[in-house]
Amino acid sequence: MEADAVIEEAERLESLRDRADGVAALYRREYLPMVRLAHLITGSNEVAEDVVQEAFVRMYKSWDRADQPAAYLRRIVVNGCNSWHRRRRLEREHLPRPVAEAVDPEARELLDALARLGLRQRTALVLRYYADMSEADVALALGCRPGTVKSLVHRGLRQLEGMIER
Amino acid sequence: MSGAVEERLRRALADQAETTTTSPGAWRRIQAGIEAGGRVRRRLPVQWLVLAPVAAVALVVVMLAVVLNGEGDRPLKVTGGTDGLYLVPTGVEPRFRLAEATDSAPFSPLPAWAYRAFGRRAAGGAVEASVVIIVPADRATAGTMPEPTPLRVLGRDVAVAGDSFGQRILSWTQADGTTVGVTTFGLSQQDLIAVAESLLRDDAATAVPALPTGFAPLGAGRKDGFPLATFQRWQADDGAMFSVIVDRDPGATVEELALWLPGSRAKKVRDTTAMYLGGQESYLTWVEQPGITVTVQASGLSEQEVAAMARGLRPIDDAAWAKLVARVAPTPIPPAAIGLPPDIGPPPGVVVPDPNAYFYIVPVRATLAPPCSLMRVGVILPETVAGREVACYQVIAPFLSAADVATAVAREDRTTGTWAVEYTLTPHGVDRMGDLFREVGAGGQFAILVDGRVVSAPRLEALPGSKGIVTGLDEATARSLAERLGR
Repeated sequence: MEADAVIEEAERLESLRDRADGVAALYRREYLPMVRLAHLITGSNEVAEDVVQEAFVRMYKSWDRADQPAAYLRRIVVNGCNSWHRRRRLEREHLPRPVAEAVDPEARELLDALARLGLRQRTALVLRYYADMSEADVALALGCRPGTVKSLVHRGLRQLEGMIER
Repeated sequence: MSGAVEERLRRALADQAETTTTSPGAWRRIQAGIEAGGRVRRRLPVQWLVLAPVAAVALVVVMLAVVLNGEGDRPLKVTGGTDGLYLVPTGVEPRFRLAEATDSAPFSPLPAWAYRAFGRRAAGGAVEASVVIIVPADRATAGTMPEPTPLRVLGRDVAVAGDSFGQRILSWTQADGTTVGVTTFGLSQQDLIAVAESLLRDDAATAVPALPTGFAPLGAGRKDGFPLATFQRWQADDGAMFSVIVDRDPGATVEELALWLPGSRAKKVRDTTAMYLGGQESYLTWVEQPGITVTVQASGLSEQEVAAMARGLRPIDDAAWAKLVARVAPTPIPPAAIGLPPDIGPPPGVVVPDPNAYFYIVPVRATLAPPCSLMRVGVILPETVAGREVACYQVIAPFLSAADVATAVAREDRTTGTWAVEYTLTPHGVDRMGDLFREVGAGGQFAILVDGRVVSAPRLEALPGSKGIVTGLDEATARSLAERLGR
């Protein structure tokens, strides 16, 4: 009986150790790319870092559920951006932030327009055109059907067009 | 139109992403978050202490062991039970399969043993040659060496096991029934035999061995005895293999482990592992936990593969590593220089067989484990099967040649399908054979060379008369040899 308990405890310690090592490796590889992604979705470098750091903490907790840690992490980050957005809307009415850092005026116009889109559309466009993800992968990250992604991307592009042509 | 927007959006997003910055304390904040979430790595030592009294020793070993379950590439998983304990490295390619796994009964005690180590240091301070005397010798013979070959020294049987990078282990049984083991590294064949001869006495445990010049004591110690906890051998189709050996070894230190494998290069793997490399063979050995050592012995693997394997196991402590490196490898030694004493030629009185002669019968002084190229002293004849060395014979003079053969005839052995040559010796040849037989004694070994190759190495139990036979030949060799000998 005691031996079983010892083995169980050893297993638990070993798995915690694996998990910590795994999260550390993932951090080295994915931290910056994820902050970039969150930056593009939220429009804020600072918020992006907070969201991604929280995502890593959650990643540690649910490590055993993540078959593909990078994809799982991305999903947590996207969800995190979403919650940030919701929180923010509760605090005060959301106004699109101008994107200050972009250098090229044309790019800035486009990014400003992007910032005025709804969160889901914006996220879908960033995942599709920045992260180069397939519609299926975007659907996975957003937790919706691929058909929805198609329409989000399509309508998003049309709205962007309309906004920059004005 | 929307194609143009897509392109512009792609470029704008890529440019914007480049402006992203990260703050320096990010990882610390993540760690703090993890710890605040209740899954705290810092708590582990406390858990350990709480559990330790329950089954301290079992826990240490169980922590190391991993169940096999037929899935070699699973991450480290711990288990144990009546079937024994297994350790599966995670960095191993799927090409390896488990070929052998044995466990000694957990915690069954072996007799206590003592060791004394002597060594010679190279200019840089690394140990380049060593002799470690172990009484009793279970440590030396416990499963890590290839099949030993018998060696006759001063009329006694000494088992010799060796590896391809110059380690030779001798062992024999004393009159009181204890076993003596001598682990040597970098010794010439002559020195090896001299050491063995000086220790073949009942006080081998305390006797001063006949050491080559430059040797000085390196250390001595006593072990209370421990079992080999688990031994596994993994094999790939291309012949590459490695063994993982977990020993319970109370009081083992990294410095002490270095004594058994001197002269080798030490390398850092992962955080803290000691890695010893020599030619085809690699050793990794480290103190995993106080009281537990792990050894990975590999052949045919690349350095990267061995390192990956080590990363799949567990690290040792950094300070121990630093001490090891300071002591063992002040400067890296190129593999070719490891353990090869200068070639000092055959001992006086030994006549080198003429490579152009086609037939010799040569008395053998010692049979040793390959590779023969590592034996730089005296005349060493390799025996090869399908291009692979299977044994090395150390020759003692003199020998019989074709001139001592009177008649010869080739015959087919119908039971084995091989050919043999039966010969009769000249009267002078019979006398020579008698002299040689008296020199090597009953059971003494002779090597038979045909066209420069050892074709067989029989032992002779009684003095042969004038008749003899060379077996194991093919038809062409047998016919050609008989013709030449019968001339």
